[in-house]
Amino acid sequence: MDKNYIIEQLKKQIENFETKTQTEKVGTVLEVGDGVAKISGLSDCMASEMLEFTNSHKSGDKLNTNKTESIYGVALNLEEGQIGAMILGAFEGIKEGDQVKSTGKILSIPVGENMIGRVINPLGQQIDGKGEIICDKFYPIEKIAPGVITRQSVNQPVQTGIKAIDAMIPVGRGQRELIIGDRQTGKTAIAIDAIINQKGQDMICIYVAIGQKESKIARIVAELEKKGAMEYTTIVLAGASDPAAFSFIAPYSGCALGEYFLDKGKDVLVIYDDLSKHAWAYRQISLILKRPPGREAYPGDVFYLHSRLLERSAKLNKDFGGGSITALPIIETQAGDVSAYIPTNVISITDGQIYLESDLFYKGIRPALNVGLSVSRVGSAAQTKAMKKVAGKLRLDLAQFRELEAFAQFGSDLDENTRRQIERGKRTVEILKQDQYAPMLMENQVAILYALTNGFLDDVAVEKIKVWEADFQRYLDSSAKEVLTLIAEKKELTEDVVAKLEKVIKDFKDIYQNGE
Amino acid sequence: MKITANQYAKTLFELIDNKPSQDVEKIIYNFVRVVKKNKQIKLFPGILERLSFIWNNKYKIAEAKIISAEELNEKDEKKIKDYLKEKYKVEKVVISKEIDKNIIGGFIIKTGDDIVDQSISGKIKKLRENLIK
Repeated sequence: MDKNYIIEQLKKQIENFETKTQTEKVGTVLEVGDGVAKISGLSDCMASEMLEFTNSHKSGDKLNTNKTESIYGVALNLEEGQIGAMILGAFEGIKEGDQVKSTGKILSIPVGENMIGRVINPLGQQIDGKGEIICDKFYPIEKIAPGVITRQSVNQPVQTGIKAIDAMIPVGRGQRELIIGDRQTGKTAIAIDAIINQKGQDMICIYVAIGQKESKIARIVAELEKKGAMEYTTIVLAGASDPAAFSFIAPYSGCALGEYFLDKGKDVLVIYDDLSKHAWAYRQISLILKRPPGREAYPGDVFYLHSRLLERSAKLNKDFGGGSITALPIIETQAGDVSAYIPTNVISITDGQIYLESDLFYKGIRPALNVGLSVSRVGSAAQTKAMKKVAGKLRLDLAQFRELEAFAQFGSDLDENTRRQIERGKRTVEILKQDQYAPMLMENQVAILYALTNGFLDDVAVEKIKVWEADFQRYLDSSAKEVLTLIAEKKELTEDVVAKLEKVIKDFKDIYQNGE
Repeated sequence: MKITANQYAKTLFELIDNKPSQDVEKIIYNFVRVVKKNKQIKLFPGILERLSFIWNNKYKIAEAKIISAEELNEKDEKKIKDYLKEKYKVEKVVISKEIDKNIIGGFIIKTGDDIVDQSISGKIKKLRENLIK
């Protein structure tokens, strides 16, 4: 570019620059510590208004040349003579007596298409080193959830790609399905698999990491990139080393970003990993603000903390764009205690839960899903007919198996019927095992589950089920593509589809036995 | 329950409002004793602040602090006073002045929580923010 042009531009800009005289509301910092500041003044401050902390101009440095970045805070407590505010960012630079300006804005984050594929902090700033994200729109992070007239019941499925979930605990678009379990039971793995499986499903995914280890996030990002899932995913990261205020606002920021896409009529999947840490962060801020502690030292409004967040997930009807936000909140329990305060709260808010158990995990059943305790209250309305048909039998098989499992040790003393049910159950458990990062398409799931529930696997040894399944899937993908596409298109198991599918399974079994 | 500075200030104001000065002296003496008895002596700065706020509200007085680079002349001072009278709908404006060479030129008016920044340094700062954008 021409040098003179730049200078001309600059001149013009300076000439046209006008300062408007306006009254600004200011306050002063009374005390600051642990990410929370007490401020006097600011008489017209709104609740959850953004505040700007500026270093006082008496710093000696006349024009304050090198420090321009101001730190923002959010007013949380409006008291008689003072305001309690949490500080978003490094609070070390803020001193007693510093000036605080009110901005007249509720805390908002920039939103836009450019956010897709990026890692951002809860304020919408990039943290992946890929350059600044340019967005022209701002969305408030706190928003009242869509009302009744705008909503519609769930009618479209979210394919997680995990056989056990898609078959027995189906999740619909706009649903809130809790993933709950102890540490190290594969909660995040399920969420990540669900993201990976959204490829080509016209879904935008937002993964909100709350108080997570940055190394874990780096691993997840690398994995998503490898699978090409970052093309439709945004990661909102509040790391373990970030202030508690970041962890507190992270899910709301993620949701605000989701709402931007919702307003465009798109389907969004938001994962909050995890809300227990979110509650901890809020507890910390509340205690420092001297709000009275309640059960487990959480403040009185933890229920509202999560209910207002999860209520923002919705399926909108056609008149309002028809978009949806599906939420997969994650809760980490301590030693399997689901009756603790936060788990019970979130269980009651959500439309069902996926319950993971460490016992099952160590037994090698992964995903370590407890099928008995896991439910989906609305998802079955969205399940495809084909899946519904095979899944109904699956649940029954598993329930019977669990009832009879205790008798399994009697071995040969059992009657024929019982023995058969136990054998079927063992195979079912085996089929429902699935590796991480290996989500499966709906049509493939239907095919294998059909084979299972209709007894085609009863003559395969339990130890060989895994190999058999892998070979079967390979056979389906290579030689029986048409059946798969038929299921995918019709989404129903009509008689002719069933006939074709059975033929494929029989053909494969013939080849398999001859090959062995 | 603890009594707040605001409550003390309100009570004190109601007690001393429209009272002859010898009564006021006695009331204040008793007031200080009560606050001391309640072990809330450290609230005094707050009480004083609230009291002047309530007083100013009732008698329509605005207290303003003007920071300027150089001594203000009478004419400018009157202009500012008129401006403030208009703005806050008060009858009297009490001004305290401060000289700060760091603001280069112009003035800053501080009234309670409100700030009107008409200083050169403030303008330069705004210009810079604008240019960075």
